[in-house]
Amino acid sequence: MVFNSLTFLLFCAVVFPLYYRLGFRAQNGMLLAASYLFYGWWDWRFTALLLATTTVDYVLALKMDAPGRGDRARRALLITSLVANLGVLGVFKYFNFFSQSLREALLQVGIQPDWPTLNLILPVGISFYTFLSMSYTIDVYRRELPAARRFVDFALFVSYFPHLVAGPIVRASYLLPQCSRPRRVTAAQVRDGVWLFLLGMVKKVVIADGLGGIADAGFASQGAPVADANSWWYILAFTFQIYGDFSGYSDMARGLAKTMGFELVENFRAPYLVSGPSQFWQNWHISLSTWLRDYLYIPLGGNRNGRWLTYRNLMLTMLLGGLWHGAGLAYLLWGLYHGALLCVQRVWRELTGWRAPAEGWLRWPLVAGFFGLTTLGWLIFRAGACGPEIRQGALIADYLRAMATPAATLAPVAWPVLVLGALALLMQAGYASLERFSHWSPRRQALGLAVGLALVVMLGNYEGAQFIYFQF
Amino acid sequence: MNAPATLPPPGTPAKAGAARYRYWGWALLVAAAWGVVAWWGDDLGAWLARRFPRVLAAVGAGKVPDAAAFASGRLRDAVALGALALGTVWGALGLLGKGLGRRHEPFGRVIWVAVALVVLGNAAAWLAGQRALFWLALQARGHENQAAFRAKERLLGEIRQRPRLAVVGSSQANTQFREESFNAALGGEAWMVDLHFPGSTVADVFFVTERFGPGEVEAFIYYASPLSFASRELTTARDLLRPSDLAELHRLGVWRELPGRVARYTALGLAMPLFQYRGPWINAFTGTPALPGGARGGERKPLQGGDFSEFQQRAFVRMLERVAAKGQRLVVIAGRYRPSLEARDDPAFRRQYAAFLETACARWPGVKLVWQDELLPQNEADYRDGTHVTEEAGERFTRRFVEKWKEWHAP
Repeated sequence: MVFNSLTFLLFCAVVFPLYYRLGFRAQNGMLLAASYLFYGWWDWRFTALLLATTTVDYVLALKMDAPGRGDRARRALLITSLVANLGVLGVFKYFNFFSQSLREALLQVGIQPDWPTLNLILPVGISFYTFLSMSYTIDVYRRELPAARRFVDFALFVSYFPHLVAGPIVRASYLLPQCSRPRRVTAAQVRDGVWLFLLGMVKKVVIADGLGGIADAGFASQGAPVADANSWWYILAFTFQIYGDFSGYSDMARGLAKTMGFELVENFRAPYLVSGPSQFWQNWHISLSTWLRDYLYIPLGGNRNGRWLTYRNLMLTMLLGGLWHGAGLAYLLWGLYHGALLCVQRVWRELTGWRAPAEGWLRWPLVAGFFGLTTLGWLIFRAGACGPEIRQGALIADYLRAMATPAATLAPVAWPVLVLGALALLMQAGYASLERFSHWSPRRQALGLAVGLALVVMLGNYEGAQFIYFQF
Repeated sequence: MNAPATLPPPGTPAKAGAARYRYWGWALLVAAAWGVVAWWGDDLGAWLARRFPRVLAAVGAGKVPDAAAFASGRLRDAVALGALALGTVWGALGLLGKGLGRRHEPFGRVIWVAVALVVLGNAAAWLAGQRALFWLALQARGHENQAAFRAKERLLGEIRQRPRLAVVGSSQANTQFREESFNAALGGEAWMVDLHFPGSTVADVFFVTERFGPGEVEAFIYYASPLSFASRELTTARDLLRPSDLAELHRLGVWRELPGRVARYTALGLAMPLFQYRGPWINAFTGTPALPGGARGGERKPLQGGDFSEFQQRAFVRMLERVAAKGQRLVVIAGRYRPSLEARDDPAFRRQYAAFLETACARWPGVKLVWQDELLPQNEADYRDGTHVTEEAGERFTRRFVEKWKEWHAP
């Protein structure tokens, strides 16, 4: 069930009236059931996995938080939780990738390995809820959060349908209290929620799905990849498509949650209007980058143990961040690419002491330059969905060659990319104002809603395209 | 007429007064334009036709037998669209001004006004859609199928030559018939308008023929492709449907037999012209790029006997019934596609197809069935892809058809 579908509209038509009529405890129970229905719509078997992960972490956290529990026992419980979560993720998402990579490596040295390949369906959004659940047990272990007493509250925190399949990855310390206490839906929340949902819809069906056809044409997921004189346009199309798709989903999720009195964290600001890699990660998929910072980079030592260990930590964090997106060489390379960009920025700062200005004209050449680097990163990322590793590498090489000799004239594919890309950039430039919808005058609100609705109706693509990040 | 009094947003009285005069100024300008076009529209059209013949021919894209009439028609369109734009802006400002006058309006009222603005936009779009200039303008950035179809539909009423012929079908029909060559060959005695719609199934073509009475189209020429009988879909017509088509949709079993999205698209399109016109909007605002071959999906599977759709057969029979009932004529050309691709199809499909066309067409007196091979056989070299012929092959086919048409209608 996707947000931009008729089924979801019917789902909301049942869930929302019920939600507003029920008391707090009944609301949680109903939302939990609705969330499992929402998730089971893809494949009911996935709900068993979700329930198992949830139950394991709930029980382990309770035991961890029991009075008089020693440090060693607490650590053992945490390790059990991490093994369970990462084990599920490893089996469903990474087993085949690593076993095939190892098989190919052994074949190179003349060894014929004989082990099975698992034919598993990747459960939708598994990386999102696994990380969400893991952060909970880690926080309980660190004594930053008491263990949840009520299973329904905890299960709702993990499976709450707006964030379940594509985030944002909300911390337990942020969302769990909202699940455990009665919520009051304010008028401003309803206004902002409706607006954010509509804004997300514009990003998804107008920008992302409008450009999806062009990106798919260039990267031809089903046919032979096309690297030609239009290659720049295909990559730019994907650059704006992935922004519209993922940021649109996050906006819709936040909007839905707000109309129920929940607050989810902001996940995107203006990622294509930044002047460097560290600013990019403060604006792009913020919930993942802060997760990686707090649960991986800082525990690895962060920048506390000297220059070289800092670089190592940055590379490791970004490598695992890349791998989080998918089991494939291209995602790994994408992570390494961003890790390298972060290291280069750090080296530059250390050598020169110069920081990119946050204001002024000098900022814009830097923004344009870094946008080019981001776009190159998306080339590597998009290649990840183009068949076997060997073909991905060839595709990237073909693209780099084609991009070096762009067409002299503006191709027909350029116009939609320019128009919809400009719309995406305008939304990023004005994101602070767009986030303050409830502070607008009623006339501006009505006009904004009417323009948003008209854009969705007039320029929307409704051919049922899935959200890209569901696969992660 | 007290609408302007509600228009200006609250401000200082002097500013509000100035805004009111500005709106009245625009209204006077539109009224003056109405007057000019009403009195001197034909003269102005004739002057424009003499002064800018090439521009008018290009804008009319082959549908302009009388440049002066075309020009004066577009002048009237321009004034009507101007008046509509002004009325829409007035209406929108009135809704915003009157509907949301206070600083802390309840959100329900804000949503009500937003929805009312969208309804107003839909009404304006529907009214604009009645004018050929609107559709021609939406094609300014390049060809778009729905806009092209609707522009031709509107211009058909301005063509005075009779009989008026309409070629209907899918994109195959478009490549087989060269509209301008056809009109040049028949110019004085008939005028053909190509009303094809790419990707059309038989049911789509049926709903296209339903839009034209005998006063508008005397005869339809339907280039029928076996492929259009092999799909259980209503594709292009769902963007053209009118409320009066609901009974036929029900009769054909569209709701019962076709995928749910057909019903959703149809319902949304009927309720909201803004939605129904989304193809032309997208083309006008963002452009519809020609994508490389890989994006158009994989190669077509060979047709099997079971692919011959009963739904499309029903639509075909219903089209014959309705065309005969309206007193129009129909020439069905049993078309083909690339021979090497046809050879891969199950012979059972072709047998069913041939038998069905023979039986169905024989039942109606105004219907003539012509096999493409009897007109002009085409070979592998005539095709530029699996289904579309080259420009030269299209020219040959058009010339051959014109000869035949003249033979059929020889005194």
